[in-house]
Amino acid sequence: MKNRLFIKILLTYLALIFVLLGVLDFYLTRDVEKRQTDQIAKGLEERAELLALDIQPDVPLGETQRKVLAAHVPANARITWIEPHGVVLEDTNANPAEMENHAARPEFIEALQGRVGRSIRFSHTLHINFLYVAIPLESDGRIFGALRLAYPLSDLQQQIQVIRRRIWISSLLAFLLAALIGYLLSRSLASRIDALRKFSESIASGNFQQHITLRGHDELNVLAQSLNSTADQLYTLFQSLDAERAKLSTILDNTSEGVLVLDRDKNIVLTNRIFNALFNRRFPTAVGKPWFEVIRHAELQAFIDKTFESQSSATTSLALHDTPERFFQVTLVPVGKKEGRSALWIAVFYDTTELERLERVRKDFIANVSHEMRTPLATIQGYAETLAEGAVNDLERRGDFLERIRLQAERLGKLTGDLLTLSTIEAGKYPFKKSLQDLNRIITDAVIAVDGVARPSAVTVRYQPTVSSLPVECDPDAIHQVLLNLLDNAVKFSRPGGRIEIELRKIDRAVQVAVVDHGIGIPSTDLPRLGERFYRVDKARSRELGGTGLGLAIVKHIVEAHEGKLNIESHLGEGSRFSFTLPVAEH
Amino acid sequence: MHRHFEEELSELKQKLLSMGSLVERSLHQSIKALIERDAQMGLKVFDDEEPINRLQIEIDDRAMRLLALQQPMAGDLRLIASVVKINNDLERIGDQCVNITQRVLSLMHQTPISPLIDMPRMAAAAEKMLHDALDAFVNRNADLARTVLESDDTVDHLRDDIFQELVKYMSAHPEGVQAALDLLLISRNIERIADHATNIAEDAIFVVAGRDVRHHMEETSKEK
Repeated sequence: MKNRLFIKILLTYLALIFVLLGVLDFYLTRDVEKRQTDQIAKGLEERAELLALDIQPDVPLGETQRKVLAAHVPANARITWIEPHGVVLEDTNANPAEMENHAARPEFIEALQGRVGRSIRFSHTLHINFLYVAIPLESDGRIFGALRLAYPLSDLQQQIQVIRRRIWISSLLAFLLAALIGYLLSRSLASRIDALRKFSESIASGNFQQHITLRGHDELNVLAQSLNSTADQLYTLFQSLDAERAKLSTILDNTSEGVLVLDRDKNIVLTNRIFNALFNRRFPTAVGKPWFEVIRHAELQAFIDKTFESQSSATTSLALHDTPERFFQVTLVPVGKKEGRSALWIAVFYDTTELERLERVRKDFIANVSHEMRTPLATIQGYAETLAEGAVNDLERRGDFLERIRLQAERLGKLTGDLLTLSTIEAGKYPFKKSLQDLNRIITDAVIAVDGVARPSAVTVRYQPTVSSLPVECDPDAIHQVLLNLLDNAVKFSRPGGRIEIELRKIDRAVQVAVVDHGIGIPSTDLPRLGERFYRVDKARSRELGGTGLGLAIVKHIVEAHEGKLNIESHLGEGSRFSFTLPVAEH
Repeated sequence: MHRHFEEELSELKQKLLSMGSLVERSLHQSIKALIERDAQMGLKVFDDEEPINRLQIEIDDRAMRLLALQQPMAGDLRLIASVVKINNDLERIGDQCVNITQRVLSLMHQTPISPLIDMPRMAAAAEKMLHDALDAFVNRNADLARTVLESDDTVDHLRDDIFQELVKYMSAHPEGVQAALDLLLISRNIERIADHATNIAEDAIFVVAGRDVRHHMEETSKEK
């Protein structure tokens, strides 16, 4: 890049110098030659005029005259007297008798016409150029011959050679100088152009936060300045675009719905965080991929296909094969219709898992309540009918029947009581009588109360208070109920002769009470549903043990009403740990 | 002409992935039917059998046509060959799902063996393997495919554990032998599914790296 520029500049200089040289050589040498020749010719002419004075027509030159003539001509010059017919009469360098006729020589012809004749010819005998000047010899207006002076031009040619050599040498010097200047110039030019190139490249790659400064004040600097301001403008533009995009994507990412945008060919144009969490967990981006690579869900595929065909918006509900299973309502809307086809499709995934769960809980609840009530009612009805049909007189069995009716009625009463408690707590209308209580005492009371249940199956409940008193703001009866329910459950879960521990731990500003058993444990699939009303892990067993299926639900609601949290951990075959937190009273 | 080929290749991939979605759904539904003792869910699996079989034939036809008419080279050829193989594996997984469902329906008539021991875990592992293998194929991710190959061992171990437990259960509860046998067959079905998922993962590696990793070919070639 740099060298190419240098070579270009150098070649330009070289061409320029050569052209200059040629012109210089041509004009200068010709000019010098002409001037010099003129000067010599003039000198020769003057000499010839002087010499002509001494020459008389038809009088041959004497010896002295010849000597005078010879002395008057410049060195190397030759004097020739030619009579009108071209016959040489006298010559300083050769014998006239041996010389050929000169009638055809151009300078002689000129001179015979009364003018000064001049000619330059190459002498084949001496191999040099000769300048011939001939003047007419006149006497009384009659031309009786011509006097010709010949002068070798070898000196002149030598002179011209010298001039030429000088021109060449100085040209060479000029060329070397030009090369040096060209090199330096091209180097600085190339480095500046290179700087500009790098700068524009870095702008092209998106780095707008830099500026370029160049030495000098020429067009390149102007270019640099405009590049700088371009970079500035691009930077502000991109900043605002970035901010806008960040704002949009933040909004999009923080909506609770999953968003997917497809183009008309079902390629993915945009996704948000929720959508990625559902379908594209593992790979950095789904954007640009065809839809079928990302959405591998049979119902959703069918839905998208059908909706694209109909070209109008549609909504569907579907389940995602996740553990735990999640439910979604998906709405696909076409936007930007052009030529009957929409350019973009926006799909919104609305999570209905919680709604589905509530719906299921509601359905289950109604079914469960009916079921729970039907059994005791059927028993009561059955025994009542038996009694009515005459068994009332059977003194032996009457008492047994009545006792059964009483038991079932009691169970119904407990059930409705529990339901009532639950609904009042849920409605926030339960009259909790909160006061400052010692948690230690409540726990100790509960341990004593549960003893009657635990004793028959030889289960022991252990509690060792670690602190003398633990003040907690709560409704003592409610918390007593919570502990009783948890301990009751733990006894039911325990194997005969098992052990139950109550642990107390302080976590930040809360105290955690845990009831730990080493019984049969609960399958992990059942854990999330334990707090639901009537949810039983082992349906047959629980009812046998006299539970209403509402115990844990009540516990959960009481704890939550105390701003606490119920937590259940369990390992199948190893036991369970039911814990709840209560906020510690401020001193 | 070439553009046409690209389109056809993309359609072939799309068909295969539709098939993948259907089979994934079948697997999920058959497992759900098992865990939740939901006969209704099981019937849905039978409904999917027919479209899966139809898709298998369509994919094979398309692949053969592409091979015959376009004579693809190198990467494209590998891709089409893998599609054919994955297609086959997917169909077999679909069959296994049907088998599982038949066992599940048989289990409905018996007293449940509670709990199902490690069956849900094993099923979840197989489901994840299938999902990851297809993900690896779609996204041309050999690393992900290799994790699938590794998790095959987990499934095998789980199957062995389940086998032991069920044998113990059968000797203790002779009345539950039928149910235990059904569970045993289901665990075998799930294991087969995991094997097919492994095949798919191997094909995914073949497409990406052009290397055959079946029967530990990769390890032996490394040793040389």
